[in-house]
Amino acid sequence: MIMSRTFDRLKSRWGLAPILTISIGATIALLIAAITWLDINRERAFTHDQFEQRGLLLVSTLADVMADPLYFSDVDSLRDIARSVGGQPDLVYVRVFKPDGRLLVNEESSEYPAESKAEGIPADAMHSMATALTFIGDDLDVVGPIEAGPEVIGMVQFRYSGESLRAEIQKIVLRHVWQGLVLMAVGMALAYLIARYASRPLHNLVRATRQIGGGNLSSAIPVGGTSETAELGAALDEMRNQLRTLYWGLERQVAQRTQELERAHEDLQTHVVERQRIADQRAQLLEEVSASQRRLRALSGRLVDVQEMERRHLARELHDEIGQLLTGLKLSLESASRALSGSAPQSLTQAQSAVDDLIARARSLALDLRPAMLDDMGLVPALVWYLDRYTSQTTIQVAFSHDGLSGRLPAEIETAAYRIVQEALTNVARHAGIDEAEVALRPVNGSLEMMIRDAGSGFDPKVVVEATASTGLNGMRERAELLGGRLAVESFPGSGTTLTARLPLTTVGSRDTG
Amino acid sequence: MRLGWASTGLVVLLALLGACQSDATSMPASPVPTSVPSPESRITLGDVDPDEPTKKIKRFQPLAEYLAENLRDHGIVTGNVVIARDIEEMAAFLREGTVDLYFDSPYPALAVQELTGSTIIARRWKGGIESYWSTYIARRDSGIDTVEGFLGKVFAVEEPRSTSGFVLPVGTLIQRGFKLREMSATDAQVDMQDIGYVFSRDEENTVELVLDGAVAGGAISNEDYDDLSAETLEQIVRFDRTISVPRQVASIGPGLGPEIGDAVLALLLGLDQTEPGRELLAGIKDTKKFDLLPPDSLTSMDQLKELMQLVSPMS
Repeated sequence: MIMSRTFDRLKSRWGLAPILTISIGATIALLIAAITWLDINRERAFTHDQFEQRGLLLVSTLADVMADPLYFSDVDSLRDIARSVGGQPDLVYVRVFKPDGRLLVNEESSEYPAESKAEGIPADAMHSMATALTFIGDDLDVVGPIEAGPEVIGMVQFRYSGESLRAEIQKIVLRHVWQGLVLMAVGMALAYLIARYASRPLHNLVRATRQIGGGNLSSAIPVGGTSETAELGAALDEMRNQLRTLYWGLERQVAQRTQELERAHEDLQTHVVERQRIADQRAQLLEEVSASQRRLRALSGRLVDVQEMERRHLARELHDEIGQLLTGLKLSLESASRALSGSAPQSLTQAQSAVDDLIARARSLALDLRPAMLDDMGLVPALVWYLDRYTSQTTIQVAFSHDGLSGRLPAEIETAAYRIVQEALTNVARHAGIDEAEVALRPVNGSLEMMIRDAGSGFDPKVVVEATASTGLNGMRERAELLGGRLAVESFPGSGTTLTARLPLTTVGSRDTG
Repeated sequence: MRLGWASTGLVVLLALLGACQSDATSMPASPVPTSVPSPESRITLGDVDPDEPTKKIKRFQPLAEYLAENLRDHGIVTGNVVIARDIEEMAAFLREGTVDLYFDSPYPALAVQELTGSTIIARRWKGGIESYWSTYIARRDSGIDTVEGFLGKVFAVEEPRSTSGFVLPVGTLIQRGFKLREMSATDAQVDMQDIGYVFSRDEENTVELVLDGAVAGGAISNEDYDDLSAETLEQIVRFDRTISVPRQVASIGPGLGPEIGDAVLALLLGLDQTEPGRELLAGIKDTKKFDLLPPDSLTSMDQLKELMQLVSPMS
């Protein structure tokens, strides 16, 4: 289960070919390792066997060669033989015993330590008088009988050092390890080729599937490889054919839909164009209206300016020209009266009185048109003068406050503010039915705020504005709006009226003049 | 060529183990066989072989056991083989009763007979032949084609205890009136009226000395001559021969009772009559059979005795 999950995880991460390569390679490597291990053991056993065979061969040969001299107890010859045999590099010693165990010849190699020569002839071998091979460590101790016919006439014993055996086994191991490594490398290469060969049909199928995914349904899917991949390829190809059929059906439907949509789109475009045209026309109209409004506002402003100029001109004419003429006339009348020294006719007196009245009226009219004080001294003094005159003419007491206003304001602001206060108080006098009112001026956030309040009869602003279209309130609003300001009226019948106007001080001079 | 046992062993060792060592031929002063026969219950076969005693033992052991098995009625339980290093030792064994039945060529057999009183009871057809002789040889290009050609020269013989390799050729020449002298070297100076001889230790050495021209000629048995290669035969010439003597004889020791002696002789003579017997005979150097010495052989044995008398003072 864990193996399967691990395999699936590796497969999903690495792909089939590397997994197959590793799996087959690992299997081959394991097989080669096992075979190598078996070979090493087999050859090790074979080498041991050869070692034993060598021992058996030597003991047989020695027994044969030593038999004749031993038969005649020719110790010198025996020693010569033992010495000549002992010349073999891995022979530790050669000994010859009599059947009673008496040592007859003992030839030892000086190359080996004494402890390796300490072993005596095995008791059982001596007892049985038979060939015996004994491994002492890696050393091989061999004992064999020396026979003359049926009779054992002695025993020969020798020992092979295990060094040569160890060296031989080491060579075997080394050779097999190298062989194993080379075979493993070949096996891995083979595994790679097999994996590549095995996974190629899958890769082809994957490529073909991607082509299908990319929309290429015309290329046939290759049907090859193993039976499974061939079956998979055939199934995919069948699926491709079905998909192609479905695709063409969908294509036709889509084409139809597309045509319908294109038609609808064209209709919609026509409609949109028409709407756009209407909108453009409306915008154009709006723009024209706006322009007209701007022109109208400019005209209104211009009208106000002209009106103010005219008022100023008329007031100056009244004051300077008419007033001078009337003053001259009065002086003439007074001079004529003095020339008559008391006998001036009554008509002259009446004329003098009429001239005085005319002078007063002309002066009053000039002030009404535009008080010169507004241009000469500014808004607050003009209002102070006006309110005083207003109270004397209407008996309405006006409480005036002007916090934070020092110095002159722009002329347009001062004119508009004066006229709005004048108009508002005129309305109070006409409609409020009350003898008190309040006027307050103050600068607020870069604007001049004016508040004119009375506690009089009040009115419904909506009704009043609609009923008296261009008089009174509309005039005040228009003056405020011409300067970029605004005017608000709070009133309710029976509850007094509060009129608030705010004129921006910064926009003065930017009034659109159309 | 005969080699010492140590040399033979070393040749085998060299072949088997790749080792090399010089030969060892030293001989002890008094060899003592390890087996001690019991005369009452054992029949012991003997032979003289200073080089390969154990091979001889192996070779003759089956015959010894066969004889023992067939001599149970005479109280014989076991059979064994004892090899002596020389004639003197064999003579001692026979005198002591250590050896009961002894096989050898006529010369040592007669020599032992003289020393111990042993009795020659049968003829052994060793190698399938009943008798043999010696022949004189020389290089074909030496111009020697008679034994007279050896005068003033040295010729080669095998060894002092050999019948065909010493007693027959040397004794024959002496018998013919030549004066023979043992020489220490092949190139030794020999008087013109004398014939010198050297021991080659082996018949093959004899032939080689002749072919090398180291000696004027040599004497080998007719068996050895027949075994020479055609190439060798082309180079040598055979020009004279000795008398024939039995190839080998069997002798019984003086301690062996007549009944057992007769029984042993009967068994030997009957060996070629049975298959197991023939197998035993084949195992001892292809012996064809044992038979009683015919009259001519007895005559030749007497002649050999005479020759022995002639050569003994020299050897």
